[in-house]
Amino acid sequence: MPFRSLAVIASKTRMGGNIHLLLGTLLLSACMSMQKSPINTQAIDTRYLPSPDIQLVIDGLGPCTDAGDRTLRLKSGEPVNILVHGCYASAGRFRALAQVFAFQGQQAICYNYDDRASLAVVARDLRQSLDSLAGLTGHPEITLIGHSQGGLIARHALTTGIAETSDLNQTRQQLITLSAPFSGIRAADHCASHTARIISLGLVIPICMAISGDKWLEITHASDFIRRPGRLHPSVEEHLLIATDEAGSCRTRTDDQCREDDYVFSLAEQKLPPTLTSPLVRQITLKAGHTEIVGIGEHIPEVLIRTLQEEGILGKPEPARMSAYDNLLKTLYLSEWGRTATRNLNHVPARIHSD
Amino acid sequence: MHLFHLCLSLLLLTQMHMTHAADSRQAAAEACLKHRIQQHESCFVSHGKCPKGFETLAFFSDSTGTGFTACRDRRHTRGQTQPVTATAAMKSYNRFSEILKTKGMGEAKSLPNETIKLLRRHFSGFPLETLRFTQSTALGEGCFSDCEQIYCADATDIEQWTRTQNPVISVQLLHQIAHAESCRLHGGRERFVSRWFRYLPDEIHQQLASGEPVDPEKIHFTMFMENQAKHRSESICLRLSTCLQGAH
Repeated sequence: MPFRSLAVIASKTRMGGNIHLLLGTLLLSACMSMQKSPINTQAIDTRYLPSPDIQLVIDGLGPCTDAGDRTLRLKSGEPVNILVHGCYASAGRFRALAQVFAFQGQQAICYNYDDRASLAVVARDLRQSLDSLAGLTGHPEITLIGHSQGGLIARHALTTGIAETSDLNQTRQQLITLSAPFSGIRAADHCASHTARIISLGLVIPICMAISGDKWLEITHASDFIRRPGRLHPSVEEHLLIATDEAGSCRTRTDDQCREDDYVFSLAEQKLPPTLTSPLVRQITLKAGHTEIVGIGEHIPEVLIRTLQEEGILGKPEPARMSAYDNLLKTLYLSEWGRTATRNLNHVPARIHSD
Repeated sequence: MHLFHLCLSLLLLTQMHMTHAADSRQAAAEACLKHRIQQHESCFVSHGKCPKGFETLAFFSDSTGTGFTACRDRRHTRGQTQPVTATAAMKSYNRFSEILKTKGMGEAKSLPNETIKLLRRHFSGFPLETLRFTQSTALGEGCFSDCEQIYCADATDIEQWTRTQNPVISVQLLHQIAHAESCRLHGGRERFVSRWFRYLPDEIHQQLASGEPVDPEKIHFTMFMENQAKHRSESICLRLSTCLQGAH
């Protein structure tokens, strides 16, 4: 049973405040309501990609699969899209999206990390890996795409803390965040609450740590990671902030009945603090579920794909390849996850507004 | 038949060259990666020689003799202050700035309101009204930003940017503004200049310390600041419908 439902039960019954509080602490991480992504070890079909001229093993970076071989095979100097997964996920989560990029001849790789580690530490490691990648592959254009917690990490990796002389700064960078909780995860508020600590006799902290790992405080609104996230380095060309209006979305459906909703973060949780808004940041709000936006289960991430195409991040297939492209999407997202249903790929993405 | 053999040979030669080039690039990348892991220092792969100011860690030649180099960047290992050099550098910079000023032609011009209005959104933390543009014969070509004071070799550029009727916004103008903005962000002229000098190649530091005259073109070299201004200007230009992407 999802923890969200447990909390509802607790609030409806006459349980004591302490029990409600303890249950509340269990809600501290959006990860808790997510299923672990299935392992995906299938290799990327590289036939449309430029021939690689370099092979590298860089910490964390690798192909978007869960296979053991983490060797990057890249064409140096060519733009690289780097996908950063959220919690309870892995590089394999973005295997299908990386394949969509590959179909258009665009290089896409993934950053794999321990989703329970400190976000600041992961962001620092990501920054170092990006720096190596930039220096060793001829300073290619880098587009960093982070989903959920991956969005927080990706943004932090590109903030002004980067050394001025780093190779990353010699590279054109673009940041895209999807459904990232920039204002902190509301369900984790208990972890930062002094009152909760006192009432629970200090139990809140070990519970929070047990559930979320080292990042337990960083995901709350009270943490420095959220309150003082730092400014984007001037070498970042743009931050495209894609927020998702997740209300009413459905993750899994059985016989037209929604079995599990896909509402993880409210728009308020995804809002960037006003002090961080700048001309570098452009916000788009899309009507999509939290995992639906990146494609999982029976969802083809049509909304995301169309948006990336409109923004010039993902190439559009030529008319002659449209049929192959549609088949690819169906194969990737419907067959890979063991689904047989097909969906209409031609509906217009539900962009609500953009700034 | 001969033609076929000739084509085949050429194809094989090209293939061999490509293989060698890829091998030397791979070798340079591996040397760099090893250096990064072992020394925790920045390193990058350069086609041919390392750019000025960077040390060669290892060179891997290919069949054409050009090859790839693993280049080490040790500028960050310098101390925060280098009193002797910093003073000499500041003096040298002031001297250069004075030359630009004395060889200035005509009065300094400001950006027109129309341009300021269009650019304010993109340079929100910077007072565009403070920018002054002057032609200077001390420059052979292009422009030089001494924080808010921008000197250009060509009067036409200044005229195009500062006229009130149909003023031009070009990537070159945005590039100069990006430098001026950087100067303010880094805490003003003194700090900006000393920071800028810290990243200059060693040979220029030695020249400055010994009082030798320094080529302004070389002083202008600081890779990261130039790239930063380049990226910033190009990305703003893309978002402005009226921006000229080309030279002016």
